[in-house]
Amino acid sequence: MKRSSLYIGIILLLIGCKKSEITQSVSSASANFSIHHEISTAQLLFDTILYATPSGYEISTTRLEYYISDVKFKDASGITIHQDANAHYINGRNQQTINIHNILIKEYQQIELTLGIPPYLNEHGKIPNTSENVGMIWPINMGGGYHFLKFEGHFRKPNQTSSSGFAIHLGETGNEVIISVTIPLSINEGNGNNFEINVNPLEWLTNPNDYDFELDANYSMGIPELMQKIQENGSTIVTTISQQ
Amino acid sequence: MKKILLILFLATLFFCKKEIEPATYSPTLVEFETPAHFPFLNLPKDNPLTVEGINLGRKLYYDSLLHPNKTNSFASCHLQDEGFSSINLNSLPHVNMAWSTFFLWNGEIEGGLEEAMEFKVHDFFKTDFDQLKQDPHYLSLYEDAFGTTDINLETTSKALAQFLRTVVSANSDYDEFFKGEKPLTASQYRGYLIYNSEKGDCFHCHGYPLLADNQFHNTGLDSVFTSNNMGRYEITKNTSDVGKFKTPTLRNVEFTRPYMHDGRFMTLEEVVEFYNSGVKLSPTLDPIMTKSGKENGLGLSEQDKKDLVNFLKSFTDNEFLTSEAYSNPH
Repeated sequence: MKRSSLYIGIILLLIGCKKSEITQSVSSASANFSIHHEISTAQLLFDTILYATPSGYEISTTRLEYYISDVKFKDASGITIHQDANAHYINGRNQQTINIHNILIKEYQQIELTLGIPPYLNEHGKIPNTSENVGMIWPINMGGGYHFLKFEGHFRKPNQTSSSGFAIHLGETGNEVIISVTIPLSINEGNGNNFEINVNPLEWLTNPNDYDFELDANYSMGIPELMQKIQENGSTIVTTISQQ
Repeated sequence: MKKILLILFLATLFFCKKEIEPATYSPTLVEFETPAHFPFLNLPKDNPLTVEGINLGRKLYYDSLLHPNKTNSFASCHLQDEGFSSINLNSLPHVNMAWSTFFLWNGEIEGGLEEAMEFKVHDFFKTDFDQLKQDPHYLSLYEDAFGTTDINLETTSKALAQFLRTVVSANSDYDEFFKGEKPLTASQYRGYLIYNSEKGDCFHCHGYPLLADNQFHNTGLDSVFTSNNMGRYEITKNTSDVGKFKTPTLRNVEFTRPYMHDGRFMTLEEVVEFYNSGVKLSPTLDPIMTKSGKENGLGLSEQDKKDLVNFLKSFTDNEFLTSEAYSNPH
């Protein structure tokens, strides 16, 4: 009787108290990646024609929305130790930070990320139905999934007074951009794992392909050869990743 | 052993804090059901949906007591059978507003439905709450909804917000098509392909399911925008916002004429023709509107235009237009 009462008491104590937080395993930690959009080390400014492209245009940016997804932490031999199988929506108008949780505490030598959405997530409903994600839907009749990139603005030739618009959109599985950076990353216990990702959106228009709004087209959606050009240019978008 | 049990019992009580709320009014909570494919909603914790709150909001929506002269109600300018818009005005339709974060054509009000209703009650109607307080029926309804007979801006706005949060259109032919439950007609399907491709390129601003993007665009209605027609600029004073207006939802667009922020078009055919051949250049024209090869318009054939209009009519949600839950309760 006494023993059973004791058991009941212990069970009461255990089940009566709801755990308010799911604690992270002691062997893992979180990392925060703040995204910076910079051109020539200066913060990207919107809505004003300020920037020159290699094809000889002056451009403004009115919209910069894209995804960083499928972030992988790798060891020296290139083996993935941790994979964050999520798609993070980025809006260039806002200062944004990506939070990745439950990363094994250790030293990493390589980080890989996808600009766009990996095939296993690029289907309607495979990523959370937030307003932002719904706004990035790529119509089913055009291939389905989500826009990987919306890069829009106005352009003009130097000395011209009037401008026209451009809408560089990228989507459809196969056009995602995988970026791999070899860099020592140290994930330590606690919340101090802060990293910075610098992104130069002008690189979408160059390296290796100079994109010409007049010779190519001022929009790319649904035009496979132009989306391929943009996809190839994506390899130089991330200029640096650094630990803070 | 008794001591151990006592300690365990006390520990249970100590660690498991339970807030004991005083017995108060007990409204009936209503769970908000997000329609298939619609974005998640973050509902305000300080204004949960209740049967009593929605009921009060609906009565207020249809009551001219909100107006100091008792001449107009919300429903005077937002008629259910016109998709909660009005042929006499160019007001944005009151539908699926729960997903909006900007209200009015220039986005003057930013926030949730509670903020939008505060503006409407306080600034638009300039409601005299004494008029409502003199009605014993309302005293009882407010008490049921909020546990207080204090009829004020906050409780009134909250009730209206609750009602409008339930005013959801998500059962049109297009919804059924999207869910794979019903095909579109042949003409509508051709229109669907125009709408959802670069040919018509309607989807970038009017994508499924909301058929609006909660953003502001200059779609080329004018080449010059003057004092009363400056759009988002009137709020931000940013020159890059000149001529940009909130994207209206196309839900029930067949019945929400007149169209555009100034109501310049009365028919869907006129709207389609404008996008086909009438877009005017200006410095803030949306980049989407200036595509190569379409400088002189979309280049739609007569059949394309008919198909597109027919597809737009698939956004009509008859259940919504006739639902008793949204109708005049008085």
